[in-house]
Amino acid sequence: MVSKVTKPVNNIPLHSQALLLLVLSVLSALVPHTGYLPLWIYLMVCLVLGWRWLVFRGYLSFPGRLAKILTVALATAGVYSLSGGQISLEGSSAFLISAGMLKLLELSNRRDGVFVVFIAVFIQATGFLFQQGILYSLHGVLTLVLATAAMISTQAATPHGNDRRVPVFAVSGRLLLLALPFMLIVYFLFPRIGPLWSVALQSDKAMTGLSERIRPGGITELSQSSEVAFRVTFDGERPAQNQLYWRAMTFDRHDGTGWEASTLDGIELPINPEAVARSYEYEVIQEPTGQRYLFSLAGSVSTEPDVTLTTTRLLRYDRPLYQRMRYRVASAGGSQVGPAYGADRYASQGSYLGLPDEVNPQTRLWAMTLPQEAGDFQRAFVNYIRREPFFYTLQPPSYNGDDIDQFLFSGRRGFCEHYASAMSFAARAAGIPARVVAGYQGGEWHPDGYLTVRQYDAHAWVELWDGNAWIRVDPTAAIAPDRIEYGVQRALLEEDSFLADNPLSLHRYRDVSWINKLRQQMDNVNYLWSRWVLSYDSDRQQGLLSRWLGLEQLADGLYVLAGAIAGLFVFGSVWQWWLQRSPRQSPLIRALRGLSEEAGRKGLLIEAGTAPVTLLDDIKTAYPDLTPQCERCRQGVIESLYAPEEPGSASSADHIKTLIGNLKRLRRAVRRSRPIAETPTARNV
Amino acid sequence: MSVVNKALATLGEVILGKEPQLKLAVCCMLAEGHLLVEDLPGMGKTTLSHALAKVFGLGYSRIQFTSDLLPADILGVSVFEKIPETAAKNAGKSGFRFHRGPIFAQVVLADEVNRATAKSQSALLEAMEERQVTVEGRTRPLPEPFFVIATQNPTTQAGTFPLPESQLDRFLMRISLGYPDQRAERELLEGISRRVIVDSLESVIQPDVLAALQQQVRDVKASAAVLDYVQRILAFSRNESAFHYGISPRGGLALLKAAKAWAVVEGRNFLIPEDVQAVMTAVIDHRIQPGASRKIMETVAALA
Repeated sequence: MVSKVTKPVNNIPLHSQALLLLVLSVLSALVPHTGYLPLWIYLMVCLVLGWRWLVFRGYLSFPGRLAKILTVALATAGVYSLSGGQISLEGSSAFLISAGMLKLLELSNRRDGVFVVFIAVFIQATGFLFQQGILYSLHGVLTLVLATAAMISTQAATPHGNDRRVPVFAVSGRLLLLALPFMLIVYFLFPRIGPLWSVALQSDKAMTGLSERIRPGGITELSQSSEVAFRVTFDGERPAQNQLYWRAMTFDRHDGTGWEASTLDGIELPINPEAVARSYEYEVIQEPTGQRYLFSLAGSVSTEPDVTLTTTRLLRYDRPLYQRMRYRVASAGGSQVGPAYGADRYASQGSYLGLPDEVNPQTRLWAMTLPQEAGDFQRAFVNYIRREPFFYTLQPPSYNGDDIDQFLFSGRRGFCEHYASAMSFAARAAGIPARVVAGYQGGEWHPDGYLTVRQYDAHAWVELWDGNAWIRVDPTAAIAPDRIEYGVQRALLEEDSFLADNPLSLHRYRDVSWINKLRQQMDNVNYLWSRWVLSYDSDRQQGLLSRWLGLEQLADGLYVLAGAIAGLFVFGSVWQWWLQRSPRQSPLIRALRGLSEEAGRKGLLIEAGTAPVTLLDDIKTAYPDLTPQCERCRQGVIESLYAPEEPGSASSADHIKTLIGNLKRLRRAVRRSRPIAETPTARNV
Repeated sequence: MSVVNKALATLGEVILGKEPQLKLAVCCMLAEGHLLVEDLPGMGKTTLSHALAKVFGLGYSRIQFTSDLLPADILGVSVFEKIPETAAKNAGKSGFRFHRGPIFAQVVLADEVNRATAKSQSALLEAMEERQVTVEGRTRPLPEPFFVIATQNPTTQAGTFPLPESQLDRFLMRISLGYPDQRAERELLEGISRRVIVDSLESVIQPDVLAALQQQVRDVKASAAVLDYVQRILAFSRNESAFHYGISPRGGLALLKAAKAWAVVEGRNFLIPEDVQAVMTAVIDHRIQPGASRKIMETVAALA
């Protein structure tokens, strides 16, 4: 009986289960992308799914060539308008997503199904460029289960649907579980290479963070976001809440409407700083910002590679931060930023005093009347804003033209950037070198002992030069002490403008204790996730390798990785072979098989499925001189295998032993014989 | 020369050059199974069945199946018979009397069985399975032994109603004769009419000898090794994707029975795998759906 193995057929139509699973897995893969996708993509998803459904019900046919070209052109144009012609990550992935959606439109047979599975998995993978929280990661597992189930269902297709009743989810779960060791090996051992190239990853809005310019409203925008900016774990002592000024950037040039980031932030401190008092040592896990600034308290040093200390005493990374980064810092803390060196020192006499001409004349005049010593000036300025009816508000009136004049003398309503900007301006007008510093202030302590700083903790303050050192001065503290002690939400309690754009944000409901608890729990899980899983980088990998495997080189790690993967595959194949191996053959069968192979080598035509008796007859025909031996074996085979046992005959075990001996002797005899050219005459049937 | 071999030799005088098929046909009789002969018109199907009946010395009747054949034409019908009062012996015996149809014979030749409609086919096929017929509420047993030898034209021919799988299953074997080789054909052309030869055939196997042979078949010993072999074949036919569906348990029993008959013809009282191989094609071929038709079905489904 000859079997012909049918080849897998690719044009088998998909059945409803496979279709449903495919569509579900693609939709599930879209979830991490929802943050930035434009509305028309959702519209397109609905249209495509509607069309496909109508096709499934038989009301419509698959789109023709013209319709396909048209939809592709429309989608391309839509993506182009989204990214404005620039290659950006969102643009590219929106293009991928729209293309993947259009593929659903012509999803009809098995080949398309396999293709769509790949698309779903790829879309899900690109989603990790945007979202890496634990919930999104768990959701990624869900998508994988769906996509694998869709693949299995697609492959199980017969013309009548999933005829074989394959339990797709069970099989898919089992497959993924089997892949788990492989995943762990790759996770722990695959070299953590830095990005090989960087695309302009995110458009301005997508990554929230400080911008290169302090302008009215910039920080106000940040305060609407509850995204995490960074998290800090202190080793020992924690600073007081009102000392948590996280410096990120300085701004030293006023161009008439706002403050520009200092070029000195890019210059490395020319000398080693004097021994910094290591009052606080901590570890920061910073979310990607797309920029190079890092966060630290005043008077900081860091020994991380690629992190430099600038003349403005800030920590900078040597390339933009497109991935989550963790780094250790030691800081003195306090309000003294420290003495100035190099360019910063010269600037303290020159450019830190510069103001554009003819801007804010009233402020300049007023500043002339203020003391010219830093401490006195601070007191005088603070007294002014305390005396006059100033307000701390997220909804300031809009100031145009001489904005600081308007703010100080008529509007009197503003957010931290207004106060900081006005104070620096006034200080410079009074002849005191000053700069605006932007960063974050405060943060929320988690019961487990780490500090979470969110975008709405963004803050701006002032640093004044007192002749020897830069001193931190925060005018906002004077007008809204609650902002500094308890955070922005408390400070804006009466105004109710905190996160006004996000009515559903859990951060708005801190006063409801169970919601707060829930929020903190989620926060904690995400913190642990990013601390232990996401921030596993090359250093920690190196540490792990040297600790567990005693390897010092990354290359060694690669060998281990290759070895581990190879080992996994060898193990898998051996296991597979073990499962599928044919049951152990009896010595008799092996002797017969050996004889058959020997005869085959001599040129005897042995058909598949030739039974022993026929085999022996064929050998007898081919080698008449072996007739007695063949007959003896034939008799033995029949007696031991087929014939009814006769009472009184030798036990069958003895029979078989004799037979095996005879078969082996016959095999040796065949081996000694000459090869045969012709096959015996064809047998009947 | 055993009685079986003598019968084979006699048959070989009528059907020339078809020893393997004749041996299978005889096996089928020994295994108490019905035989289906499928071939083109004029290949000797009818002659074979006629010769078989003669050689086994059995009563023989023939039904020519046509598209207007009715079940009553096969089974028989009750006719009202009026006996005159004057006939003293049979006074008052007027009434319906059952006239037995041609099915009441030891060997029934159902010629061109697939030319009849499904209704008539099933009348025959029911009788084959039950070995009795029920007409007008009365069950009448069929004679012993009872063989149906059906012939059919290939289903590709015009005007045929193919037998459904469930009914094909009732035939133990399906064989086809095929064209004779050159030497046999020459002999056929030179010799006298086959019909004359058939008419002059003598019965070789008496009914009591046949019953004894059938008992021998039942007594053939199938060792564990052979049963393993049969089971492997059955499992293969069910698991392999090359077949649309595998061999049924009834098919497995049929295979074993036929193989046992072959062993008896070979003069053995035990089975060897070669017996199974010898009858395999004839027994299995009409019971499985090959992958080819499955492929066709897939293509059709893809077109739909």
